[in-house]
Amino acid sequence: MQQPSPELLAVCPLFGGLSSECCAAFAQRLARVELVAGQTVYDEGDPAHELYIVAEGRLEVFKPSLSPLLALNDLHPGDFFGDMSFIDLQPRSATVRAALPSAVWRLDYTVLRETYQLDMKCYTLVVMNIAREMSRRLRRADRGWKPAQGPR
Amino acid sequence: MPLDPTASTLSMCSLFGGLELCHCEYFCSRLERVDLVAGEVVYEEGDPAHELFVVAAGRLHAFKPSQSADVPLAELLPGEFFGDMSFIDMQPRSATVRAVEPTVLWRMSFSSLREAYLRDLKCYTLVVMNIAREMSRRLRRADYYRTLLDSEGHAAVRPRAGAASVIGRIGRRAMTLRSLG
Repeated sequence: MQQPSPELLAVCPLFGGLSSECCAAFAQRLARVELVAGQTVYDEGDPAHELYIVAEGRLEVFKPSLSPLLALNDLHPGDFFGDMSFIDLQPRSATVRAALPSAVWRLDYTVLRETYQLDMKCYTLVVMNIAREMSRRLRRADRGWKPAQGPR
Repeated sequence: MPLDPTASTLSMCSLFGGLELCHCEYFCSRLERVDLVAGEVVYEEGDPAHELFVVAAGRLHAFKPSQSADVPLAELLPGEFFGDMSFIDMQPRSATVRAVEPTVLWRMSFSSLREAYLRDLKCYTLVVMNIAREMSRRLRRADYYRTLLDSEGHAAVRPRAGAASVIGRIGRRAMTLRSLG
């Protein structure tokens, strides 16, 4: 399957609350990328042009410049990543690597920015979904750091 | 900054960055000045949340209250905003915020912001982008400090908390970023 169904997208947190038309439009613009175990999606410091949704498998987030072995986070199907660079236009804050054979859907930032022009309500909902996820990560940081090996 | 909100000073606050003057005028009419004495609490961790705040003057501390010792999270200075996370995720306050010196805040109800969604979607979207950008800054700091921990989850450098923007400015490298809101 090269493209996800709009119904599948509607249950991803990134697209929560979107109309079925919006989901269908995004579904057409997603590209599936297959990864072997150990393959890197992007490296810390890379310029950033896309965000990703996990379709299958599991990925891990590292910050090699500081701690090459400490996984900061695990990513599972439905999770999205690469969103921070979309928001703040900075390079990748971390490296993301497949821990298992995995698949992700890639969404170009340009598609999102087009949405700003074409359907601002849809764009705003996506940004709110990204912000909600960042808020969740920050609240988790608030409660204290936990090693990545534990359950999420 | 002037102690009462004006459209031109609002445009210098990161929360309202990129907004047109007419939008700033709208928000200006929705801001309410709050004067605090030193030691006064704005809200406590776990409180239900209905407003966000811009610091006009003074200084505040955000912290997680604890029986042993409060965990400091952030220092808040003029131009910065807080209380935004609860607007985004509709959860209770994640921390307690207290004035450490005489302080002036501008308070804006979440409902005024939601009203902007109906009045002018572009304006609302810009404010949400500004909030998201600030959260992204805090998260980049959080990841940085998290890597200073050993595998047991203990701090390799004894962590103390602070807002990303503040830590960046004053270079307190050993502080752990925590969130606000």
